[in-house]
Amino acid sequence: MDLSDKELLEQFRNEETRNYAFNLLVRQYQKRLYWHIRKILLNHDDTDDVLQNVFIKIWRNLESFKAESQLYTWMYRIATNESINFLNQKKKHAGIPLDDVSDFLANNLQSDSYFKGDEIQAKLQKAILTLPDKQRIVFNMKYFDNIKYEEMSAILETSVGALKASYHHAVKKIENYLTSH
Amino acid sequence: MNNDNDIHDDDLKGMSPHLSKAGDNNPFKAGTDYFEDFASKIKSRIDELEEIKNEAPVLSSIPNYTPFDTPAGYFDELPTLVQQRCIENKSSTSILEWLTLLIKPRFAIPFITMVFIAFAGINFMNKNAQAPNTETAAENTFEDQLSTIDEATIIETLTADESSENKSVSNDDNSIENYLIDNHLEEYNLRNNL
Repeated sequence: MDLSDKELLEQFRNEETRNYAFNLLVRQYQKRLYWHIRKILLNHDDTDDVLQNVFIKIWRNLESFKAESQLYTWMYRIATNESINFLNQKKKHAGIPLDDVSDFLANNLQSDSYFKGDEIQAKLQKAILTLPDKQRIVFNMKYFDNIKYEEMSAILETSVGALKASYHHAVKKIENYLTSH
Repeated sequence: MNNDNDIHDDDLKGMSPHLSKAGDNNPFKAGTDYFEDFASKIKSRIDELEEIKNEAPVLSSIPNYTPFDTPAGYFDELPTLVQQRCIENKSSTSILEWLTLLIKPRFAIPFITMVFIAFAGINFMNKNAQAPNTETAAENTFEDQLSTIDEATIIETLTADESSENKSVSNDDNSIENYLIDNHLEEYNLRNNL
Protein backbone atom coordinates (compact mmCIF):
# COMPACT_ATOMS: atom_id res chain seq x y z
CA MET A 1 0.00 0.00 0.00
CA ASP A 2 1.45 3.35 -1.03
CA LEU A 3 0.98 6.18 1.44
CA SER A 4 1.17 9.86 0.58
CA ASP A 5 4.31 11.70 1.70
CA LYS A 6 2.28 13.53 4.34
CA GLU A 7 0.93 10.26 5.77
CA LEU A 8 4.42 8.73 5.73
CA LEU A 9 5.83 11.69 7.62
CA GLU A 10 3.05 11.61 10.21
CA GLN A 11 3.59 7.92 10.80
CA PHE A 12 7.36 8.37 10.96
CA ARG A 13 7.04 11.07 13.64
CA ASN A 14 5.03 8.67 15.79
CA GLU A 15 7.48 6.47 17.75
CA GLU A 16 5.16 3.44 17.54
CA THR A 17 4.78 3.48 13.76
CA ARG A 18 8.23 4.84 12.89
CA ASN A 19 9.83 1.60 11.71
CA TYR A 20 6.76 0.63 9.71
CA ALA A 21 6.61 4.05 8.02
CA PHE A 22 10.30 4.00 7.18
CA ASN A 23 10.02 0.52 5.73
CA LEU A 24 7.18 1.76 3.50
CA LEU A 25 9.20 4.81 2.50
CA VAL A 26 12.16 2.64 1.46
CA ARG A 27 9.86 0.37 -0.54
CA GLN A 28 8.21 3.35 -2.22
CA TYR A 29 11.38 5.20 -3.23
CA GLN A 30 14.15 2.58 -3.42
CA LYS A 31 13.88 1.96 -7.18
CA ARG A 32 13.76 5.60 -8.21
CA LEU A 33 16.71 6.51 -6.00
CA TYR A 34 18.63 3.38 -6.99
CA TRP A 35 18.41 4.13 -10.72
CA HIS A 36 19.27 7.77 -10.17
CA ILE A 37 22.44 6.81 -8.28
CA ARG A 38 23.25 3.93 -10.60
CA LYS A 39 23.32 6.22 -13.62
CA ILE A 40 25.86 8.40 -11.84
CA LEU A 41 28.10 5.62 -10.47
CA LEU A 42 27.34 2.90 -13.08
CA ASN A 43 28.52 0.03 -10.87
CA HIS A 44 25.95 -1.91 -8.80
CA ASP A 45 28.13 -2.45 -5.72
CA ASP A 46 29.00 1.24 -5.43
CA THR A 47 25.36 2.14 -5.99
CA ASP A 48 24.27 -0.27 -3.25
CA ASP A 49 26.75 1.29 -0.77
CA VAL A 50 25.66 4.83 -1.56
CA LEU A 51 21.95 4.00 -1.58
CA GLN A 52 22.16 2.45 1.89
CA ASN A 53 24.00 5.53 3.15
CA VAL A 54 21.37 7.75 1.56
CA PHE A 55 18.57 5.94 3.38
CA ILE A 56 20.48 6.12 6.68
CA LYS A 57 20.85 9.86 6.16
CA ILE A 58 17.14 10.11 5.37
CA TRP A 59 16.34 8.13 8.56
CA ARG A 60 18.46 10.48 10.65
CA ASN A 61 17.05 13.68 9.20
CA LEU A 62 13.46 12.81 8.29
CA GLU A 63 12.07 13.86 11.65
CA SER A 64 13.42 17.38 11.20
CA PHE A 65 12.35 17.52 7.53
CA LYS A 66 10.26 20.65 7.05
CA ALA A 67 7.90 20.20 4.16
CA GLU A 68 9.30 23.29 2.42
CA SER A 69 10.18 21.08 -0.54
CA GLN A 70 8.61 17.81 -1.68
CA LEU A 71 9.86 14.70 0.05
CA TYR A 72 11.13 13.01 -3.12
CA THR A 73 12.92 16.24 -4.21
CA TRP A 74 14.70 16.30 -0.85
CA MET A 75 15.63 12.61 -1.11
CA TYR A 76 16.88 13.03 -4.70
CA ARG A 77 19.05 15.92 -3.52
CA ILE A 78 20.59 13.75 -0.79
CA ALA A 79 21.15 10.94 -3.31
CA THR A 80 22.79 13.30 -5.82
CA ASN A 81 25.10 14.87 -3.23
CA GLU A 82 26.07 11.51 -1.74
CA SER A 83 26.87 10.15 -5.20
CA ILE A 84 29.04 13.14 -6.12
CA ASN A 85 30.82 12.95 -2.75
CA PHE A 86 31.41 9.23 -3.27
CA LEU A 87 32.89 9.86 -6.73
CA ASN A 88 35.14 12.61 -5.41
CA GLN A 89 36.37 10.39 -2.56
CA LYS A 90 37.13 7.56 -4.99
CA LYS A 91 38.95 9.90 -7.32
CA LYS A 92 40.95 11.38 -4.45
CA HIS A 93 41.82 7.92 -3.18
CA ALA A 94 42.93 6.77 -6.63
CA GLY A 95 44.83 10.02 -7.27
CA ILE A 96 42.65 10.94 -10.26
CA PRO A 97 42.10 14.66 -10.97
CA LEU A 98 38.60 15.71 -9.86
CA ASP A 99 37.61 16.81 -13.36
CA ASP A 100 38.80 13.63 -15.08
CA VAL A 101 36.43 10.88 -14.10
CA SER A 102 35.66 9.24 -17.43
CA ASP A 103 38.42 6.58 -17.36
CA PHE A 104 37.65 5.64 -13.78
CA LEU A 105 33.91 5.29 -14.52
CA ALA A 106 34.54 3.48 -17.82
CA ASN A 107 36.44 0.86 -15.80
CA ASN A 108 33.53 0.83 -13.38
CA LEU A 109 31.17 0.13 -16.26
CA GLN A 110 33.33 -2.65 -17.74
CA SER A 111 33.80 -4.37 -14.39
CA ASP A 112 30.08 -4.34 -13.65
CA SER A 113 28.52 -7.75 -14.17
CA TYR A 114 25.03 -6.22 -14.18
CA PHE A 115 25.44 -4.24 -17.38
CA LYS A 116 23.03 -5.74 -19.88
CA GLY A 117 23.41 -3.29 -22.76
CA ASP A 118 24.77 -4.09 -26.23
CA GLU A 119 27.75 -2.45 -27.95
CA ILE A 120 25.79 0.66 -28.94
CA GLN A 121 24.55 1.12 -25.38
CA ALA A 122 28.09 0.77 -24.06
CA LYS A 123 29.21 3.40 -26.57
CA LEU A 124 26.41 5.73 -25.46
CA GLN A 125 27.40 5.27 -21.80
CA LYS A 126 31.02 6.07 -22.66
CA ALA A 127 29.86 9.19 -24.52
CA ILE A 128 27.86 10.24 -21.45
CA LEU A 129 30.98 9.72 -19.33
CA THR A 130 32.83 12.41 -21.26
CA LEU A 131 30.48 15.01 -19.71
CA PRO A 132 31.30 16.86 -16.48
CA ASP A 133 29.55 15.32 -13.42
CA LYS A 134 26.74 17.84 -13.13
CA GLN A 135 26.04 17.93 -16.88
CA ARG A 136 25.97 14.14 -16.86
CA ILE A 137 23.38 14.15 -14.08
CA VAL A 138 21.25 16.69 -15.94
CA PHE A 139 21.42 14.64 -19.15
CA ASN A 140 20.49 11.38 -17.37
CA MET A 141 17.59 12.96 -15.52
CA LYS A 142 16.17 14.53 -18.66
CA TYR A 143 16.99 11.95 -21.34
CA PHE A 144 16.32 8.70 -19.47
CA ASP A 145 13.97 9.71 -16.64
CA ASN A 146 12.20 12.61 -18.39
CA ILE A 147 12.13 14.66 -15.18
CA LYS A 148 10.71 18.15 -15.62
CA TYR A 149 13.14 21.05 -15.58
CA GLU A 150 11.23 22.62 -12.67
CA GLU A 151 11.69 19.47 -10.57
CA MET A 152 15.34 19.19 -11.60
CA SER A 153 15.79 22.79 -10.58
CA ALA A 154 14.52 22.01 -7.07
CA ILE A 155 16.73 18.90 -6.80
CA LEU A 156 19.95 20.35 -8.19
CA GLU A 157 19.34 23.89 -6.91
CA THR A 158 20.07 25.34 -10.35
CA SER A 159 17.92 27.65 -12.47
CA VAL A 160 15.69 26.18 -15.20
CA GLY A 161 17.50 28.27 -17.83
CA ALA A 162 20.90 26.93 -16.78
CA LEU A 163 19.56 23.35 -16.81
CA LYS A 164 18.15 23.74 -20.33
CA ALA A 165 21.45 25.14 -21.58
CA SER A 166 23.35 22.35 -19.81
CA TYR A 167 21.13 19.68 -21.40
CA HIS A 168 21.55 21.08 -24.92
CA HIS A 169 25.34 21.28 -24.51
CA ALA A 170 25.32 17.68 -23.29
CA VAL A 171 23.28 16.49 -26.28
CA LYS A 172 25.68 18.19 -28.70
CA LYS A 173 28.77 16.73 -26.98
CA ILE A 174 27.32 13.23 -27.00
CA GLU A 175 26.34 13.51 -30.66
CA ASN A 176 29.87 14.63 -31.51
CA TYR A 177 31.35 11.70 -29.59
CA LEU A 178 29.01 9.19 -31.26
CA THR A 179 29.75 10.47 -34.77
CA SER A 180 33.52 10.63 -34.24
CA HIS A 181 34.02 7.23 -32.54
CA MET B 1 -31.18 3.44 -23.76
CA ASN B 2 -32.63 3.38 -20.26
CA ASN B 3 -34.45 0.25 -21.20
CA ASP B 4 -31.17 -1.41 -22.22
CA ASN B 5 -29.61 -0.39 -18.91
CA ASP B 6 -32.51 -1.84 -16.95
CA ILE B 7 -32.20 -5.13 -18.79
CA HIS B 8 -28.44 -5.12 -18.11
CA ASP B 9 -29.05 -4.37 -14.38
CA ASP B 10 -31.55 -7.19 -14.16
CA ASP B 11 -29.06 -9.59 -15.76
CA LEU B 12 -26.33 -8.47 -13.33
CA LYS B 13 -28.66 -8.90 -10.35
CA GLY B 14 -29.32 -12.41 -11.47
CA MET B 15 -25.68 -13.23 -12.10
CA SER B 16 -24.06 -11.41 -9.15
CA PRO B 17 -26.31 -9.69 -6.61
CA HIS B 18 -23.26 -8.29 -4.70
CA LEU B 19 -21.69 -6.77 -7.81
CA SER B 20 -24.98 -5.17 -8.86
CA LYS B 21 -25.19 -3.43 -5.46
CA ALA B 22 -21.70 -1.94 -5.87
CA GLY B 23 -22.96 0.46 -8.55
CA ASP B 24 -21.08 1.64 -11.60
CA ASN B 25 -19.28 4.67 -10.11
CA ASN B 26 -15.61 4.93 -11.15
CA PRO B 27 -13.55 4.55 -7.92
CA PHE B 28 -10.36 5.92 -9.54
CA LYS B 29 -9.36 9.55 -9.46
CA ALA B 30 -6.77 11.60 -11.34
CA GLY B 31 -5.27 14.90 -10.22
CA THR B 32 -7.67 17.86 -10.52
CA ASP B 33 -5.79 19.51 -13.40
CA TYR B 34 -4.37 16.30 -14.90
CA PHE B 35 -6.50 16.33 -18.06
CA GLU B 36 -6.17 20.09 -18.50
CA ASP B 37 -2.36 19.82 -18.70
CA PHE B 38 -2.25 16.49 -20.49
CA ALA B 39 -2.35 17.77 -24.09
CA SER B 40 0.33 20.41 -23.46
CA LYS B 41 2.53 17.81 -21.73
CA ILE B 42 2.35 15.50 -24.73
CA LYS B 43 3.01 18.39 -27.10
CA SER B 44 6.12 19.55 -25.24
CA ARG B 45 7.41 15.95 -25.09
CA ILE B 46 6.98 15.59 -28.87
CA ASP B 47 8.74 18.93 -29.41
CA GLU B 48 11.68 17.80 -27.28
CA LEU B 49 11.98 14.52 -29.19
CA GLU B 50 11.83 16.39 -32.51
CA GLU B 51 14.49 18.79 -31.28
CA ILE B 52 16.82 15.94 -30.32
CA LYS B 53 16.12 14.23 -33.63
CA ASN B 54 17.25 17.36 -35.47
CA GLU B 55 20.12 18.23 -33.15
CA ALA B 56 21.42 14.71 -32.55
CA PRO B 57 20.23 12.19 -35.14
CA VAL B 58 22.71 9.47 -34.04
CA LEU B 59 21.73 9.78 -30.38
CA SER B 60 18.02 9.67 -31.16
CA SER B 61 18.50 6.50 -33.21
CA ILE B 62 19.75 4.60 -30.13
CA PRO B 63 16.93 2.92 -28.16
CA ASN B 64 16.25 4.90 -25.00
CA TYR B 65 16.43 2.51 -22.05
CA THR B 66 18.62 2.02 -19.01
CA PRO B 67 21.05 -0.80 -19.83
CA PHE B 68 21.71 -1.82 -16.23
CA ASP B 69 20.45 -4.70 -14.16
CA THR B 70 20.37 -5.60 -10.47
CA PRO B 71 20.99 -8.90 -8.64
CA ALA B 72 17.87 -11.06 -8.32
CA GLY B 73 15.67 -10.11 -5.36
CA TYR B 74 17.75 -7.01 -4.58
CA PHE B 75 14.78 -4.69 -4.06
CA ASP B 76 12.96 -7.28 -1.90
CA GLU B 77 15.87 -7.52 0.54
CA LEU B 78 16.95 -3.88 0.58
CA PRO B 79 14.26 -2.48 2.95
CA THR B 80 15.13 -5.01 5.69
CA LEU B 81 18.85 -4.44 5.20
CA VAL B 82 18.44 -0.66 5.38
CA GLN B 83 16.24 -0.95 8.48
CA GLN B 84 18.86 -3.08 10.25
CA ARG B 85 21.62 -0.62 9.41
CA CYS B 86 19.51 2.29 10.63
CA ILE B 87 18.91 0.60 13.99
CA GLU B 88 22.63 -0.24 14.34
CA ASN B 89 23.53 3.29 13.40
CA LYS B 90 21.04 4.82 15.81
CA SER B 91 22.70 3.16 18.80
CA SER B 92 26.18 4.29 17.89
CA THR B 93 25.92 8.03 17.40
CA SER B 94 29.53 9.09 17.83
CA ILE B 95 30.96 12.07 19.71
CA LEU B 96 32.28 13.34 16.40
CA GLU B 97 28.74 13.66 15.08
CA TRP B 98 27.79 15.73 18.14
CA LEU B 99 30.78 17.95 17.53
CA THR B 100 29.92 18.35 13.86
CA LEU B 101 26.40 19.31 14.90
CA LEU B 102 27.90 22.16 16.92
CA ILE B 103 29.43 23.59 13.76
CA LYS B 104 25.99 24.09 12.24
CA PRO B 105 24.70 27.63 13.01
CA ARG B 106 21.29 26.43 14.24
CA PHE B 107 23.03 24.45 17.00
CA ALA B 108 26.12 26.63 17.39
CA ILE B 109 24.24 29.88 18.12
CA PRO B 110 22.12 28.49 21.01
CA PHE B 111 25.17 26.61 22.34
CA ILE B 112 27.37 29.73 22.35
CA THR B 113 24.53 31.74 23.93
CA MET B 114 24.17 29.10 26.67
CA VAL B 115 27.92 29.07 27.33
CA PHE B 116 27.94 32.88 27.46
CA ILE B 117 25.00 32.98 29.89
CA ALA B 118 26.60 30.29 32.07
CA PHE B 119 29.95 32.16 32.07
CA ALA B 120 28.27 35.47 32.91
CA GLY B 121 26.27 33.76 35.70
CA ILE B 122 29.36 32.19 37.25
CA ASN B 123 31.21 35.51 37.03
CA PHE B 124 28.31 37.31 38.73
CA MET B 125 28.10 34.73 41.52
CA ASN B 126 31.85 34.92 42.11
CA LYS B 127 31.70 38.71 42.45
CA ASN B 128 28.83 38.45 44.95
CA ALA B 129 30.65 35.82 46.94
CA GLN B 130 33.76 38.03 47.13
CA ALA B 131 31.97 41.22 48.34
CA PRO B 132 31.36 40.26 52.06
CA ASN B 133 34.92 39.14 52.41
CA THR B 134 36.40 42.63 52.10
CA GLU B 135 37.02 42.76 55.88
CA THR B 136 38.87 39.48 55.94
CA ALA B 137 40.84 40.69 52.98
CA ALA B 138 41.78 43.82 54.93
CA GLU B 139 42.74 41.69 57.93
CA ASN B 140 44.83 39.53 55.72
CA THR B 141 46.69 42.52 54.33
CA PHE B 142 47.25 43.90 57.94
CA GLU B 143 48.68 40.53 58.99
CA ASP B 144 50.83 40.52 55.89
CA GLN B 145 52.17 43.96 56.81
CA LEU B 146 52.85 42.86 60.42
CA SER B 147 54.79 39.87 59.22
CA THR B 148 57.16 42.19 57.37
CA ILE B 149 57.97 44.23 60.56
CA ASP B 150 60.73 43.03 62.84
CA GLU B 151 59.50 41.51 66.16
CA ALA B 152 61.90 43.58 68.30
CA THR B 153 60.54 46.78 66.80
CA ILE B 154 57.01 45.77 67.70
CA ILE B 155 57.96 44.97 71.35
CA GLU B 156 59.84 48.26 71.65
CA THR B 157 56.85 50.21 70.35
CA LEU B 158 54.44 48.46 72.69
CA THR B 159 56.64 48.97 75.85
CA ALA B 160 57.18 52.64 74.96
CA ASP B 161 53.42 53.08 74.85
CA GLU B 162 52.99 51.41 78.29
CA SER B 163 55.68 53.58 80.01
CA SER B 164 54.14 56.78 78.65
CA GLU B 165 50.76 55.72 80.07
CA ASN B 166 52.40 54.97 83.49
CA LYS B 167 54.12 58.35 83.43
CA SER B 168 50.85 60.19 82.97
CA VAL B 169 49.28 58.21 85.86
CA SER B 170 52.21 58.96 88.25
CA ASN B 171 52.08 62.66 87.26
CA ASP B 172 48.45 62.80 88.40
CA ASP B 173 49.31 61.25 91.82
CA ASN B 174 52.12 63.77 92.43
CA SER B 175 49.90 66.78 91.77
CA ILE B 176 47.30 65.57 94.29
CA GLU B 177 50.00 65.04 96.91
CA ASN B 178 51.39 68.54 96.33
CA TYR B 179 47.91 70.00 96.62
CA LEU B 180 47.37 68.29 100.00
CA ILE B 181 50.72 69.50 101.35
CA ASP B 182 50.19 73.02 100.10
CA ASN B 183 46.79 73.27 101.78
CA HIS B 184 47.97 71.62 105.06
CA LEU B 185 45.47 68.82 104.78
CA GLU B 186 46.34 65.69 106.71
CA GLU B 187 45.07 62.21 106.18
CA TYR B 188 43.38 62.11 109.63
CA ASN B 189 41.44 65.37 108.99
CA LEU B 190 40.39 64.31 105.59
CA ARG B 191 38.98 61.02 106.85
CA ASN B 192 37.03 62.83 109.59
CA ASN B 193 35.62 65.35 107.15
CA LEU B 194 34.64 62.66 104.72
